[in-house]
Amino acid sequence: MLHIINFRKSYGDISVLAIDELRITPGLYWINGINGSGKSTFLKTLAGILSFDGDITLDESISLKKQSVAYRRFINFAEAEPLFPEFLTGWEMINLFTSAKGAPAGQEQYYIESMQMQRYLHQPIRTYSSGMLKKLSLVLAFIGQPRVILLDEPLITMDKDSLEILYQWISEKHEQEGTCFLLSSHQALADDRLSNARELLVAGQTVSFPD
Amino acid sequence: MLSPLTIVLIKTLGRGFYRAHSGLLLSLFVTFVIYCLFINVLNETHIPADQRIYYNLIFVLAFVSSPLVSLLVFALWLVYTIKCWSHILEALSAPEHLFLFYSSTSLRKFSQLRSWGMLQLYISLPIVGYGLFSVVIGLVFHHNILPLFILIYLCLLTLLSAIIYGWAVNRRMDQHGQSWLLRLMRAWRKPFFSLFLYHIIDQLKLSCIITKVVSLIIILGGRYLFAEQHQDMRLAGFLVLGVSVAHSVLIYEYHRFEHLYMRFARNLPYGRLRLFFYSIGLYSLLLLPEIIWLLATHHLATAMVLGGFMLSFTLLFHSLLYAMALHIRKYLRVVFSLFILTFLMIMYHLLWLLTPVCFLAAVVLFYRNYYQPADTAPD
Repeated sequence: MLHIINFRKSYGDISVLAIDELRITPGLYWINGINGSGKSTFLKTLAGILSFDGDITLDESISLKKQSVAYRRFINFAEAEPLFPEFLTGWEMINLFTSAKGAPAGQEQYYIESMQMQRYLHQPIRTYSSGMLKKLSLVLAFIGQPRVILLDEPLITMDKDSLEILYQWISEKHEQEGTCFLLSSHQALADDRLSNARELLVAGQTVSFPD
Repeated sequence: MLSPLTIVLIKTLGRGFYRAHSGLLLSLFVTFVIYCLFINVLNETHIPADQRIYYNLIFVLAFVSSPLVSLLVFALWLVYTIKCWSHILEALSAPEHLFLFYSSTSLRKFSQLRSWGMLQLYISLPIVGYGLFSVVIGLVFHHNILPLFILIYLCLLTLLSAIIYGWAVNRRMDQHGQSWLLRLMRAWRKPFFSLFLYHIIDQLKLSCIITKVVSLIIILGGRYLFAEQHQDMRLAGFLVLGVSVAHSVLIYEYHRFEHLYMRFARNLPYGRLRLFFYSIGLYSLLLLPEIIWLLATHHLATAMVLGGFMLSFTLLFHSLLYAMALHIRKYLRVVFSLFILTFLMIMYHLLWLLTPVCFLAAVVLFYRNYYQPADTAPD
């Protein structure tokens, strides 16, 4: 599914990640690593947000560098601490992502209703709490027909009930559409539905499957 | 000795103010130093040395001797101070300054007021310095009344600012406020390329107004001062160049907006050429008043040449910022260098060459650097 080749990411002169080759097959993955190990950098790079040396391909055919538009259509991302223009409403953000990601009409309704977000989506984002903002960013990550969804620290700032719903979304999307998930978290994924998630370790300036 | 709160306020809000406004202040400083202190008046053979000093100081002397000029300068200082208020109050709402609401407010009111006053003096150093310079010159030339008013006025501005900042940090925050303009526009569709315009309405009203006033002054001042050369294409070229440079601050603000709030956009399936066309749409709207001025005062062909130059030069600044991230000093150096280079090219009748060159450079820089964001620490 994802093939990372000769990957090098640095900030100025400081090398952060170096991966000679890594294949990520369809499935659920838990990105594990200590603070500052480069988990978010890895996810942002996979999302096509950060520059890097080397290449990343999706299904061996869509290169992030050569077919960047097609690649981004199939890779969705939610930040650990999302920030959106504060004057926009939640609905305006959802409409933007729906049109950009080519989502089927009405797809967002299921996510909005299950997370019970209807009552505040018409309000400007500046009125949202961090939990509400987090939920919005997660809804945006599920919009469209992504092959891979990258969730950076999805468990933080979410209440227990919302976490249950998120686990359900992940398991449904994975089982029904075969969507691949990469979730970064400091805690192990405790829920039974995610128990088959494979660990991907970010340590020593590289990313690998632990032995 | 400065109190701990004063030190924190200066290091956070004070230095932040200078970082954000270094472009404007640098241009004012250069103008002041070059024109008011070092410029040779007419020809040195015509004016004796002692009178040359007098002419160099003529504006300062008018300030300390003429109530009308004093009022004009006081009004300018008030505008500067209002700009300070706007910046500090906006900065206070940033998450990194939230600690001030639950730390500084435990101090006695007088201590708070003193620290906020010191902050205001720090960010008012350009006008305080000029004010004190004027007072000294006034006293040397035996003008005693207005210098006294200058000192009182500076103290009042500082006190009023301290009270406003102190009030802002002690009140209970209302984070949900939204400008009435945005409330009116709530139902409007907000196309992706236009989002920065709404951000201007939301948070950058004053910066935008100042930019447009500077732009207007450049246009009107140029037309008035060089009325006899109004047929000369170069004059229009200089004015358009000035207008583009006046917008450099807003262009920088666009990049800050993109860096802070639009990070998600890099994950959207939009090609770089499409994004570049969005930039053309954005800056065409931002420069719409100036484009209307060009169309109203020039033949269509000339207006199109000048409008094309203005837009491509503005786009060049926009694309340059992708190459240098948000390094304001580097950006300002490049803006000044490009301004001088372009000024010389216009002077030598090369305006026709500038439009395609700037446009092509803008496209190439944008395409090469759009996905090269500011270096940040790994997380």
